[in-house]
Amino acid sequence: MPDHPEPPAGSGPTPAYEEFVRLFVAHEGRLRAFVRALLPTWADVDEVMQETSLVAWRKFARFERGTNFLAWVATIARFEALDHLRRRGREQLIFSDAVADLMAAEAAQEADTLEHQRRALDHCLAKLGEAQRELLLLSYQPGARLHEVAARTGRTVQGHYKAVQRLRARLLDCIEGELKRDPA
Amino acid sequence: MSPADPLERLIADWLGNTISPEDFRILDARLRADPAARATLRRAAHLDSALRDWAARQEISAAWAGADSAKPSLASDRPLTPTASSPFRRWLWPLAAAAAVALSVATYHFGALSAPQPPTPSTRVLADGTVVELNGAAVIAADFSATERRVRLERGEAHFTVTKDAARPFTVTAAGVSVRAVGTAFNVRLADAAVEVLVTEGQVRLQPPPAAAAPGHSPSAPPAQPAAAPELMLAARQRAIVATTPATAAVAPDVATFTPSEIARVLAWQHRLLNFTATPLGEVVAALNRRNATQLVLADPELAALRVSASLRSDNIHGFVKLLETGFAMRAEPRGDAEIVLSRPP
Repeated sequence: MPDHPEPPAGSGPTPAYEEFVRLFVAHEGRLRAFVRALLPTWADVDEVMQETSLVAWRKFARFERGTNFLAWVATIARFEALDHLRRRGREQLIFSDAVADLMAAEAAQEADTLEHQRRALDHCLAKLGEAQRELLLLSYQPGARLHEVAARTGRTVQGHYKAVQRLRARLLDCIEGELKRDPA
Repeated sequence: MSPADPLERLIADWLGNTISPEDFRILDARLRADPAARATLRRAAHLDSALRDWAARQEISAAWAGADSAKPSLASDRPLTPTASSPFRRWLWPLAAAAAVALSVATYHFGALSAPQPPTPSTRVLADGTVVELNGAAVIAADFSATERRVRLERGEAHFTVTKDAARPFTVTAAGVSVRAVGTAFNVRLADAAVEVLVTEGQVRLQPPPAAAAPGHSPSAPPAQPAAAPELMLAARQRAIVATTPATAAVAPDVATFTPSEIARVLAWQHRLLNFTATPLGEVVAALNRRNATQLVLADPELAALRVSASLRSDNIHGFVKLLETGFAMRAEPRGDAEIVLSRPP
């Protein structure tokens, strides 16, 4: 069997491709959060997710149907993340194998509560003031740079960083409370 | 957990890309030994991921509603860049390209993002053939006569590729700043307190607005005529920022010479998401070549007929080439600095 299915030749997606996309999309949220935990910036995450999607498609013929797709693709993502940091000479930011193994295994086993968490986040964001939401919006928009956002909000980089961390901590507490009050 | 918690701080520093090597080793040891620490990192990463999705959704919704200009806020001076789309799209499009005609799947794929799309750049061709690329909600008004061509930029940002006509000079005005060209290309961005002009080809004559009366001017004296500011010639790759508020209008324009990559960054808004559905590769290549300095060349004419479905940013030449290599087993070889030759494998 080839390493990846033959590219469809102009007549529509193959069943294998459809299956792959369906699985990938179903697990994308948890996979992305797993990759985020392994990498220090969103630019890194985006690149690794892109590579992971390509490599996973190429290797999809080897995926055993009926087994845990997230565990399979997380293993690929884990090595792509490692390779990504190595290629950029940032080996000092690579987690030990033991940590990466444990994180991958636990990510694959955790329940899919993303939608529940998202609702909790929306609820908690609604409790913040407008200025606080704006600060988060500027900080998390794709392509946001810490220095630029700090300058725009009239804070020092350090002050901006601390303000965002305080909001994150508050949101984490709030989400935890929401999930306890209304478990999935 | 409070922000003062050491583990929370380590995780925040890790996700904020500010962790020291020593702290990273401490974090690694904690994560290895403590399942609760790993759960904390997972929660933090989930939050980070959810916040990014939320920010992308907000940005897209705001762009659609035009809310960025209507509501004063911290984000109100943020330029709307079509490039800042959802993180989903940036890495999911290769799937569609890699598997070629995958329309139904791509629709399902992208259907997960239900928010409306931001306004994309649009192109307007003026009566004289001048091509204007409008960034998002930019607004221009053209007024041509037998002796001159005048365009007023009322809002936003636009790039002008001016048709040569020595008998009818072409002038763009924005907040009192005028930019005059004959046959050239330049970008004008109208901001709250300044106008930014970047010349991409040829040269322009820049006329800043008249300076305000000098401070300390006696109210009882007759009103002074505003002093005409000196003109300025700007050559290709030069960018000028001209202050337009009364308090700063007397400040000389800030002129800098940009590198090609800096110019590309300024003009990145012109790139847009291109969607191709079962489109001949020849057409896709032509569309990309029109928008990029790097040109794709199809060595084998048969390749032009190959049908491709993809959703990609118009400046993502190298990503597209990589996908042709991986998805279609094509060979890609650079030829000189500005061409990539695509061919079938031997």
